[in-house]
Amino acid sequence: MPINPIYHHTEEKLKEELLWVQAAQKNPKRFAPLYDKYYEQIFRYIYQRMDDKELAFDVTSQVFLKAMNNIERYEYRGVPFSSWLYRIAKSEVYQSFRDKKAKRTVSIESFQLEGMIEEWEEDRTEDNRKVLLSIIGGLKEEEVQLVEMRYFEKRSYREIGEILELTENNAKVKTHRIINKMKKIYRKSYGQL
Amino acid sequence: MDNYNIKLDRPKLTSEEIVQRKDFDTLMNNHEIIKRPFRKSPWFFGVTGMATIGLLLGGVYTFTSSSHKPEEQALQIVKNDSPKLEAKLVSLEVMEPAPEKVLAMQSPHENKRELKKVKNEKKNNYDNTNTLIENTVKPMVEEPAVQKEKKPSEPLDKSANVRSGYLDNHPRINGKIGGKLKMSEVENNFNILTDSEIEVLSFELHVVTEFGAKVYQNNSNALTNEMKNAILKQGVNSEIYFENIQGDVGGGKKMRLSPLKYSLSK
Repeated sequence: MPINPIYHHTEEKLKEELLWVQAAQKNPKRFAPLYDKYYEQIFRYIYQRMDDKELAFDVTSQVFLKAMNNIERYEYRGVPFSSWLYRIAKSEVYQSFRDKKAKRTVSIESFQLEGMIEEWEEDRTEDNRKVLLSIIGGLKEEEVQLVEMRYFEKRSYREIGEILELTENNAKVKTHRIINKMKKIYRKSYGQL
Repeated sequence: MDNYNIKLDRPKLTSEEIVQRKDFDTLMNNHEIIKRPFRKSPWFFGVTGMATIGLLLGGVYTFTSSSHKPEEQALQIVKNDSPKLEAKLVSLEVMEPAPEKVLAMQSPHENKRELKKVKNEKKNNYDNTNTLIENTVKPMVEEPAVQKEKKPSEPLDKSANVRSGYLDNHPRINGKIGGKLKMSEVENNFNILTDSEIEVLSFELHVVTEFGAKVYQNNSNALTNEMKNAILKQGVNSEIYFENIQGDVGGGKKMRLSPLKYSLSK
């Protein structure tokens, strides 16, 4: 499965990013390079989970404002700065759902669904797609997050772990368990059809 | 499907569209507003300005109001400092001579308390009244009052007026101005005398019995039989009081002398 290449940095890139962060900690105006680098990524992460585009832009601005206000508290842990931004974004998205009393959105491409069905060695029929959508709709929030990040956003287990504050291995194990659970439900439903 | 709003094949936003919405300057401004200390915000000047104007106006008002009406302030001070009127009225009432009377038919304990109250009132009256006539006031002697009390049993010597001090005008029984009075001294009768020329004209005896406090009056300086019997009926360690002692200072002038208190002993 292809994964998001932006997240994976070389040591040099990480060091360069750390210098940007240190500069921004001293002078907030030096936050600009970080903002430019991660604005689109963070927006897409938020928009993936929200129905309203304008609200997604607002929440994105809020995320960067919070990051800027709290950059003095940031501690480098050998991972890209974006993992910290994602955590803020996750918190802001759920805060927005609570404020607006809105339902969480799951954005899925048809080809992504078909890819999952293929992995399970099933036929790519319209019925199978409907069953799979129904299974995703019945998952718990934590389960949806893992499936979404791994299969629809193509993130590595390491990145998933850093965003969800899990170890890479734990993220992997949890995702496999959810997929197995989905397969069981899928086969059970397929038998009933 | 009910838990989430699932969007299938939602139209994607292009990178250009997203980048267009980037606005670092607005973000920077918002950051400065949040992080700006209160003293640098326009609110600070507004609040402090209003507070300063308020203080100035208050100060000016206070100054002008106090400088225009000094007589009102003075009147207020006089009102606050003047003593209560009731105190004087009470003292006038007590000045009247009281005939022999039973104060109350109460328990001895309560009667004692009542008697003390009466005594205190009379004392206050005494204190508030100028009992000394100017002509008879003599200069204070160096010898303190305590030293005089040490020799109560010395024989009375009216010529001892030379050691005159304010205690010379104090009434005495057998030379004592208080303390213990023996039953035998009562049985032998006694007179109330002073160390000066003042002659005792009348006095009251206050005793506390089980039926209440009793007051006996005599228009001389000697003990009457009734008084003697009343005192002898009291037990040892009982207290007796001589109040409202009136003295003749000469020239027809009268003055009220200090009251006496004795404890009875064997």
